Amino acid sequence: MTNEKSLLETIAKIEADVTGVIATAAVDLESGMTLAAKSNRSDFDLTVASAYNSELVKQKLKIMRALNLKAALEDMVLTLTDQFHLIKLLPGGTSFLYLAADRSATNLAILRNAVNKHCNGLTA
Amino acid sequence: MAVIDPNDDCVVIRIVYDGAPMAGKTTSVAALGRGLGVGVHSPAEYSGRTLYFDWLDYTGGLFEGRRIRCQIVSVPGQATLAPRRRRLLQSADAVVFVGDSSPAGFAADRRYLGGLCGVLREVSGPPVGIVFQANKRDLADATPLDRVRSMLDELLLPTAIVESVATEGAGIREAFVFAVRLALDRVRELTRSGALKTVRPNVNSADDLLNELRGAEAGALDLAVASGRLEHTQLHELQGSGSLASDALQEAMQSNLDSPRASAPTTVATSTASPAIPDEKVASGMVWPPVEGRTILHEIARATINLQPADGSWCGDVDRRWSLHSAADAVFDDVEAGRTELVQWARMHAANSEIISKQRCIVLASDGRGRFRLWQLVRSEPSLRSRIEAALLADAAVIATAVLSSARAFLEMAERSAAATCELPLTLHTTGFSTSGAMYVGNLPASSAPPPRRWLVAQATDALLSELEFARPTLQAHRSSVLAELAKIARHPGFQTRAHWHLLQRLAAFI
Repeated sequence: MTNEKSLLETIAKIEADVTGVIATAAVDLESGMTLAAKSNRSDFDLTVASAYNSELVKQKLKIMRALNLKAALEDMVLTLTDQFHLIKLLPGGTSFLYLAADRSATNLAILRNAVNKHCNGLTA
Repeated sequence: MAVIDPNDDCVVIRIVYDGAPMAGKTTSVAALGRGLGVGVHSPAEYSGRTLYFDWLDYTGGLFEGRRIRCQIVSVPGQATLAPRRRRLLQSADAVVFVGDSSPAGFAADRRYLGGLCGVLREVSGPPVGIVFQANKRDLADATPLDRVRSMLDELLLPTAIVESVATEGAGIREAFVFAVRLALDRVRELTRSGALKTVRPNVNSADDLLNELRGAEAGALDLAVASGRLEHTQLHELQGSGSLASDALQEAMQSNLDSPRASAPTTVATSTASPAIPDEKVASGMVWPPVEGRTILHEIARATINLQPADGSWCGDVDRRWSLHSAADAVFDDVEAGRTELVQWARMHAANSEIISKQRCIVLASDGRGRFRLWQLVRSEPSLRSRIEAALLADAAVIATAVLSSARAFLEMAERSAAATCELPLTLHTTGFSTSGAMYVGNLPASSAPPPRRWLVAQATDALLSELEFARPTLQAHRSSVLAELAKIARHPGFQTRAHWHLLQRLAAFI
């Protein structure tokens, strides 16, 4: 398991590359527990978001199995009217990075590029 | 104590931080509280020493659709408060044992771990998992991890080790999240056995726990009760000097020094197409036994694994402590098929538990290529073969004793294997010793293995002599002295049965 310090370092690097980050967490897929978290908005409950997004990822993986898809899940992008939520599976597939960003302050390409760039060196 | 609270439909689990005095339990819980953004309650302290417990309530994560509410409790380490410590440990679903890595603290760790084992043995239901949080790893003279591992082995404790420096908050979250996983494995077992109750927890707050302890002690530990007012550490106080997250961030920016942690798993595979190695992050229900199995996986994930292909199967050696094996046909396209086999195999392990060595686990994990592979991990126990090999380097008396005792164990294994649920390979490599006699130390065959073989003594002796061929040149080189030693042993009062004489005659003829 990557330690909290390395994860926080990665989160800091992503925040340095992306404007409008609301909150970021590294989440243990099985339990939904955060392994590291940083929120820039006090009204954004990152603990709750992390827990329920772990269920989202599990359901997606279940769907892929039901469809007999052999491909791996890389990331999930959810577009809200005012936010982007990006879920990036970390190497090993047992944890993921969850990031919420202000839609008016960034765009998906920048977001995914920054997350991919900094997450690839992590171990799950 | 895990329950489902019907009021908010949460799974309530309790993680207890145990350890010797001054090992860093309170510091660890405080660091965890800062990291989680939750205040810590400490009912009473005396000169910085915990008198009752530290309490932290955190809701996070999801288990089968329910939120997970963690009651995080540290015990008082002082010996005079042992009854209080015992009571808190009895309520644990998982224990984080904070070990003191300083040379002085290491001796105390052993005593306290022994006490912890004693308490947990009395806890009913599925086993309570233990995470050994090796603290104070920043000390120059910190006890080496292999010594820590040896101590845990001597205590027969399947325990995951996580290194930490609690004063810096390093390693704290990893130990906690792993403990939560172990607790959830226990919850799953409780659910499976119908023992998980849906009921409001008796203890819902630090006050409740304090009242419960006071009620149970009835003033017996008055020293600690004297100043029992609850002190609530406010969140803003914790954040006054910067949160754990911001501290860690600043530290990370300023220095490239990594915090102490277990080394990344290393797989030395002889083929580029080697499957992914299972680790402790496998989902609940995919490892058996659930709690001990996950701690074994935690250990191997940090070790160097020499993985070798063999006719479609894969086997490996993990630091000479564990052997790892996956059969050619133990690959499944979908997880449900794999899980069915896992369950069958788990039943087979349980049914043969009197015959096979204790430390082993089976796990279903992704092979990294979209399929699932069933693995078997078996602790490398000394086999009869390794015992004889070692003895062949010594004098005739040692050789004779080793050969004869191994031969008897081999024949005992042949007899005992008739009680197995399937045919177990009978070789010197797969047979070892335990306190209760001969035991099977090899890999268990697949659940589709043929029924157990009933060995006649003559057949088993033939098989034994065939297995002993490797030792024959050395035995013949020392023939006269080995035979003389065998004759001495034969005069021993415990060596009088007809079967023993028959064995001795066959061995003498073989040499």
